[in-house]
Amino acid sequence: MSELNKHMDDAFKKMSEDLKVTYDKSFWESAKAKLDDANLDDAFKAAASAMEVSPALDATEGIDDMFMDAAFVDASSEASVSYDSSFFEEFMNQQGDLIMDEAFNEASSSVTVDYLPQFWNDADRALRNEGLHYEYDSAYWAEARKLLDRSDRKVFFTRWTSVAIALLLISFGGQQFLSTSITNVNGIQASESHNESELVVSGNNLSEVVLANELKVEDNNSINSSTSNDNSEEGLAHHEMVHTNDNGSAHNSGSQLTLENAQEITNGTDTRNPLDQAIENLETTNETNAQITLIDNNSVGSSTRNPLDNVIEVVESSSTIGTLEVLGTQQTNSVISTDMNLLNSPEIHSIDRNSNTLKMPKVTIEQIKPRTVHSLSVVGGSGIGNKWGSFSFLPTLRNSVGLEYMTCTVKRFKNLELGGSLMLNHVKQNNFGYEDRISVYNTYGGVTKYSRSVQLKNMVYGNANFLVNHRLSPRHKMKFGVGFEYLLAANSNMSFIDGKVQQVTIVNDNWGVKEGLNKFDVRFTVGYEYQLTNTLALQLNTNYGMFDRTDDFYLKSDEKNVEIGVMLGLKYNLFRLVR
Amino acid sequence: MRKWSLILALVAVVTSCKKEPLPDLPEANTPYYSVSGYVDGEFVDMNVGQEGIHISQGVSEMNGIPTFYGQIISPNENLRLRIEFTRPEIVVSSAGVSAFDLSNLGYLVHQPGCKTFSFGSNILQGNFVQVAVESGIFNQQNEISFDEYGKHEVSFKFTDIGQNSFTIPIKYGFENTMLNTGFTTSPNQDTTVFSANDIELNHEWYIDGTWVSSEAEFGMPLSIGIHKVEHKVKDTHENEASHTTLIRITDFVLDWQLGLNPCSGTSNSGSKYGKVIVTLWKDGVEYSSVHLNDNLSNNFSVSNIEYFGVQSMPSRAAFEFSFGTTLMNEDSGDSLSLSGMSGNFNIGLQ
Repeated sequence: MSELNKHMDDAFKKMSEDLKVTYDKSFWESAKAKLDDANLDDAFKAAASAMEVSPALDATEGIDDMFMDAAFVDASSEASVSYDSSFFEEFMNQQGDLIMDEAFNEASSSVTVDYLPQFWNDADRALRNEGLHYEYDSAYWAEARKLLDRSDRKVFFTRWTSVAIALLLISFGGQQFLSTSITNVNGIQASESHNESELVVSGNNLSEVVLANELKVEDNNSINSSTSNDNSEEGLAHHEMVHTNDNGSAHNSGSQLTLENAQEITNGTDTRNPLDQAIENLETTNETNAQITLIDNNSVGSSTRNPLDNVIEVVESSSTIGTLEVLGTQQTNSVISTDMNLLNSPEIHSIDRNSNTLKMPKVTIEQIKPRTVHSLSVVGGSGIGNKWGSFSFLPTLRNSVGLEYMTCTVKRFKNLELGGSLMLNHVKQNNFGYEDRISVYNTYGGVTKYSRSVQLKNMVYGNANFLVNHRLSPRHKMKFGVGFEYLLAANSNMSFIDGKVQQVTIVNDNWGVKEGLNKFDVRFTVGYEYQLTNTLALQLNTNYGMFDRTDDFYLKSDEKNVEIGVMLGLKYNLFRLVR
Repeated sequence: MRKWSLILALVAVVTSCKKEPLPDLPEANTPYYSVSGYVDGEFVDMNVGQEGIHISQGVSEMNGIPTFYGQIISPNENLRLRIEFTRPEIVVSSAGVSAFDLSNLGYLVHQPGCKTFSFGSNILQGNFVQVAVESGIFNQQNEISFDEYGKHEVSFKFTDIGQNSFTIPIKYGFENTMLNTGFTTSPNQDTTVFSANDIELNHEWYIDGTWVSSEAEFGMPLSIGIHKVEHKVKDTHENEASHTTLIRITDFVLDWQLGLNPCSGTSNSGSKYGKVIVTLWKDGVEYSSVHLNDNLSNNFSVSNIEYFGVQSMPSRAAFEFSFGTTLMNEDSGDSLSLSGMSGNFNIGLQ
């Protein structure tokens, strides 16, 4: 009992500090009297019938207790039960159990158990028996990681979606608030139709509410100016919220925070308990930034809840939507306004400029910095091309292999990729070559004949390209390129007659002859790329050379043989670097 | 290690590939020798080295006179063209070798001619002379007729001595004028003195085929009878000429030296050294320029002469030519006109 008394005493002290109520010793005496057993019945009776209840109020939990007590008060006021002496007898009968339960609770909280290894062995054995013991498998971690990633993604998406929706709602609500005409002082009920100005926070998607800081409420003036004559401690403790709508009827909107009728406030006709006023009027000092959170309808639940409770209720979350700056003053009329312009409204005469206002929450969005992607790929392909030399409808074979480097541009040219490639291109030709026959006449009247015949089969070119890719969609790209090509090697079959030795010499698969081919060319590429997977892409390229690939001196022809080819290939990404 | 092995393998593959370079071809040229023109209005173009056409060259003789020739043969066309030059009297001079007598170049067209012979102061000897030309029949005559130019072998019999014949070459149309091979003989008691007309030359005397002296003048006793005397001369450039005649020794004293002179009423036809003879064989029929007097007025030009071989005595001479001529078959009398003929030709000098 002394503990209870001490607790209640502390609560009263704290409450007095908060409410700026001068503690009077008579308060304790009256409270003490109530706690006597002899007067317990009377107390219960009084409690049952009285409108006012003065519970123990813990400062730290003061608000909670007060509101909870207020709930009980409301409940009790609505539901009256006649006291029967059997109530007390039943209580006495169960007192021992209650005390024992309390004792066990205290014992459990105070008892600490030291861990011993054999505990694990026993537990392990038990788990094994139950089949709950699993050997660790690395795949579990991978799966768990997937789940975590998925969960994280869900949380992330949900969180920021809710933030965005909340911001939108606040902005809409603020605009709505601004759009309605405010005639009342507090700026809250500003519509001409006296509709309640509501700071509506709704939305079932809202699931996170935070109360970061304590909402500091001061309402000295409001209390003092209140015409309420209830300065008793009951009155101080009274914190019933009275909400009025157009008709002035009180209601609780579980999902709406509705503020008091301004007229009542300004006219001072508010009959509420000063504490109610204090609670209702969110008045803060200039140094106080109250973080007012959004309310989850679902979390509000019961319509009997005080909407202001809704404001202050905390739902587990880690995000803060924003900061609602409350510029507090010591003025009588505390208003909550979402727009400073409202204060300037001519209809709001009595609104003090320095009155409390709530600004729109700030949402800071970090700008995503564009990151450059560098990628290196192996490309290869095969195709067909035109036949050099004598005209033929039959195409000839082409092959290519090489490395391709691309970098993704940023900012304005997001769909463009720049890069280059180094390629080895193979060209196969059929029936392409030249032949020379020379007769040298001597002064004796004789003649010596020389000849050579070359059939060029395979040519290998080194190619360096500058590439530009245009991304049509995530999987489709158009490719444009221009580059230089140099003849590296040529394979041919050759036969010749040397005049000194008048016999035919044949050399097949010879890599020593490049005569008949021009070494340099400029090559244009137009292609299409389809991304099959993250690392594999399909390419279709058309190539066109600018210059004649053949040497007219050897071929003895003025015909221009440019390179034309179509190739189908694959591109495999080796690695990507993101910076 | 693996990386180096891969690199070495790649290098080995690259280096092991066959790399035979493209053989260089010499610069082509046009045929060195060719003849083109119109043969009886039909264009002929023969390029030595093409289509089996070939050329040959060398030295030959025409009626005992050395000639330089070259001929192009086209088997496909069954055509053979021979261009022949009589050797000039002087081939080598201080200016070098000259296979052509460009001052006397023209066609050689045979003209008949005759020579008479004399026996010095012995007037009666002519009554006992029988002459046979080219192993012909001996006739008693005091003059010799020739149908063609050349050096002919003429046989003499002196019936007052015996029946032996004495054959000496007699030049017709090729008398030496630049190399004087003439000489005189005079008795000196029982010796006969031989004196060359040109003492500046190198001399060689052969009596009855036996060398007897190299002096410009010498004397020696000779036996009674007819003796053949041959006088060879050479100039400083080794140009050679000879003259052969007969002398008679009677009672160990020189009786006479056979002399030859153009027949009366005939003129000297001029030297035929360095004349050109064009002969064409077409389809096996020979056509020659030597039988038509019209060719006496036709021109044959030679230019850009190039000699091959030893400089002192080259073996071949190449030249550009152009001519127009009419050839005739001696047997049938058919002729063949060659016009606008030109080209590059080659004759042998040895």
